[in-house]
Amino acid sequence: MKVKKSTVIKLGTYLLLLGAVFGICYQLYETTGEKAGPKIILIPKKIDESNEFWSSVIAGAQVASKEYNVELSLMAPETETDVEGQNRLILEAAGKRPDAILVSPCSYEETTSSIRQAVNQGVKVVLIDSNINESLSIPLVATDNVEIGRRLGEYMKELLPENPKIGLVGHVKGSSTAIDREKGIREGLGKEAEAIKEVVFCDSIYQEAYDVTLRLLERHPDINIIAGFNEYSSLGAASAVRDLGLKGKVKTFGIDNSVSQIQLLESGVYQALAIQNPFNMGYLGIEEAVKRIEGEKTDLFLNSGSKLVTVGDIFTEENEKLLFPFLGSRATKKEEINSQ
Amino acid sequence: MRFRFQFKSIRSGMLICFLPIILSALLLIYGFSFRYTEKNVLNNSVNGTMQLIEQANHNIDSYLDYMENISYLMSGDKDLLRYLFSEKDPVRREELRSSVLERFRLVRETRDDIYNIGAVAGPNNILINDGTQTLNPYADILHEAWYRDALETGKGMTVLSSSRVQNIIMNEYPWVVTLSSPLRYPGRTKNQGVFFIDLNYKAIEEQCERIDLGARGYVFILDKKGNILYHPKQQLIYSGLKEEQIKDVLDCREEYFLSGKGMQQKLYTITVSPKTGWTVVGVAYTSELLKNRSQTQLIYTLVTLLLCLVLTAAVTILSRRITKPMILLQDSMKRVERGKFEQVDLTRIPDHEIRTLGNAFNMMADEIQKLMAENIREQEEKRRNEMKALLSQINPHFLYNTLDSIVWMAEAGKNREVVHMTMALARLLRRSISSDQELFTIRQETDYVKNYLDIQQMRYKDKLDYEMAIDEAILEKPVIRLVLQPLAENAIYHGIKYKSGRGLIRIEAYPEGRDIILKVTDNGKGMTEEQMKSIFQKHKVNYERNGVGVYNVQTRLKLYYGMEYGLCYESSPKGGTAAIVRIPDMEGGGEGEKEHSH
Repeated sequence: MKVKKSTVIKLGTYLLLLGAVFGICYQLYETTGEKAGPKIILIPKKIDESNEFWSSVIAGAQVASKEYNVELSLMAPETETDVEGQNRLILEAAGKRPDAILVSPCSYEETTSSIRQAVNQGVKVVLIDSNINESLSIPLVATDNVEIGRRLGEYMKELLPENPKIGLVGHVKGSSTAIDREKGIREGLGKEAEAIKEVVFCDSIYQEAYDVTLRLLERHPDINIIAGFNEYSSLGAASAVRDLGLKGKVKTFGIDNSVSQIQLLESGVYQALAIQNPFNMGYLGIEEAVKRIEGEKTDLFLNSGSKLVTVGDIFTEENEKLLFPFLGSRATKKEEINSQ
Repeated sequence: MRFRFQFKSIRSGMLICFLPIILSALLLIYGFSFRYTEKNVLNNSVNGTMQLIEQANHNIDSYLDYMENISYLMSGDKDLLRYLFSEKDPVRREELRSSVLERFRLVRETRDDIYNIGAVAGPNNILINDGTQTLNPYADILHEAWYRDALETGKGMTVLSSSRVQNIIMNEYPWVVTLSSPLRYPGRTKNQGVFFIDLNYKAIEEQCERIDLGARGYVFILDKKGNILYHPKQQLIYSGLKEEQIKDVLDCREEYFLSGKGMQQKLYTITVSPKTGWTVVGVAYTSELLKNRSQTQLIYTLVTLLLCLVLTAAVTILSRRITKPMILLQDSMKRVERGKFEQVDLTRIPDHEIRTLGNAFNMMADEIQKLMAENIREQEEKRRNEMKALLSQINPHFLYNTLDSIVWMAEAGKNREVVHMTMALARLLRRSISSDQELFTIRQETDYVKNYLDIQQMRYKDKLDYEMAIDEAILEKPVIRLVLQPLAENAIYHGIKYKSGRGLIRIEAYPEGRDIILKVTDNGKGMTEEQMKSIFQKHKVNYERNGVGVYNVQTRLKLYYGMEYGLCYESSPKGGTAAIVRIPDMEGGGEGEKEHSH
């Protein structure tokens, strides 16, 4: 075997140099800053400063965006029932060619078509909080609504008085969350679900919830248990019960944990609140979207979790952390907010 | 197949041997020094981080000291104590209340890190902030830890809570750290109330954020019990989305520990404040601490690379310098091989072994050159001697025959012929005896053959005619002597002699291209092919007639002019014979002229 020695030397030197150059390039590549992050558009059911649920969802999404270097923008309809408006926004968002859209569909049925259109345009869609009536193989990050309903239902069953008569105050008729939560409550109540007298809806408007609860109690004065399905319906129902002076007589249950609701829980109007984890929902939604953008296969459903908090255990170390968002120095005095 | 290591040259041998050694040594040094630097950098980082964290802890202590001072001042405030514990007069109470609230307002206005400031002396004896806020009727203040702990502590002491949700005011549930101290009316022995300040996280967060632990690094604080007091990602941890290695921190007996691997490796630096019992933990990513690491690595790599290049170049150049004298020597020797005996130029070769070698070689080349010169001289000598020997083979029989003829003619009384013949013989002899030079001009050579033919013509009166056709232009060209005469002689004895009737010999000389042709033609009986073949053979020379002979002529022509020149015959039986001599057209021929000038 004869190889020209000079060739060997040249080849060796060349390889050495090549290796070194690659090494340097790799080093430089490693040291160069992060590349621009993905663009994600978040479309909640609405943006309302006073709505703590959606504020928390947005806060979670913002924190996750910071963590994952995501460029996050927000678009939202005026009200939760503005299905048309949201559909328009979904299509508008898809037209901006973002890397992903995070949507909380206003309607179980009517939002489907616009989401399908967006998916067909090649935009990655992640649903949060609510589902649509068609499986488009897109992930959903939400509270397991049947589970949260069941938690509430089971606790209602524990506190069930003699001769129970139950009234339910839903938020938006036909929305997936309302459907599932009612189903969960019925599951939790088991046989006692027969005691449900009527289910009324309030279109996620506080005043409406208050009014329908008043009328419900007028129609069925014998109702001794009332449960709301979300922040507005629960708060409206509880306020009505309180204002009618029925605290203690009508056992009230609710979902979500706005400050007003907690106040009502502390004061004993609510027997218990089943709380969702909207912050986690927003955070996990972004995380899921980022994973999808990076081509990772994920489960189609991600439970953001729920918990039942009763009058007695509000300020336990564990529940405190879930009930009250830790805002650090961003927490400001109430009067300062008011003066702004 | 076995690879047999055979270096093509000493130089490539040197390169192949030394380059890997040098390069691997460099790589080794690179690796070692890089690791060593890395370790140093890490140690420095640990120390640096430690100092920062200690400073942060110290700052937080100072901050709490300051708050304690406020608390101490306020809890000793006479107006406050009188309002809470002794004054009954409603008007006076109102005055005291506004003065206390004014003080609260002042404190709150100057400090934006205080969420609530207040004093509690019973469920309905509470002063808080500006006194306008609605209190949470469901808050069970008297059973809160911060209240009870402060109540039980001594005068002038303070109690710090962990992170907690303060629910004292209606519809407000902020996360705060509560600093509380007991209130005791002067002269009484029991604490009857508690003064408290709710700290928001502004100051603490500021202290923690001020510490730069790289882009991803952060600082968090644990309280005495190991609960998180402050963490930049507190909400994520509370929501269960993130975890912090609190257990590792609490279990750690050292000042720092490392956790994780590779890019995710984190350095936890821990300091515990003796005052508060809080643990301030700094978390830094080692990849960021060693951010200079990639720079360092880059510099090390570049330097190593540069060294590699420089050393490779150096080895290449040095090996060339070392082997160059050898290559010079080798080249010179190659020239010698090709026959050019030059002296090797030793001035370019440094004075060491190679020069010695070169000197020896030069001496040898010298010697060989001398020997060759001698050899050439000897060869020349030998050739001359041979020529002379051949030349001296002339005459005796011819001379005898001619003299014999002269005697006959004298006896026959042919005086004129005798004179003529004797003169011709005399000229002939003079030409052949008087010179030992090899060359004649063509004129001399043809004169010579003319004299000879004159003599022969007189001897064979009726049998021989001759004619000569010499190109005037080449008369002075040189030719070796005694070429034509032997040929003419040969023509007479082998051609004309056997012919009945008169024979004719024709002598010609003319240029042909760059050569000169001398031609002796006879019209005698000619030769057979066999005779032609044997004509140049030495033993066929007829010594009876003429010693010189054709062989002699041919040998001398070849010796003198080289193998491509010489004599050839054209003949056919009965057709006569032509002897053709081809010689090169050489310039000069001065030797003949010289002879004439004698």
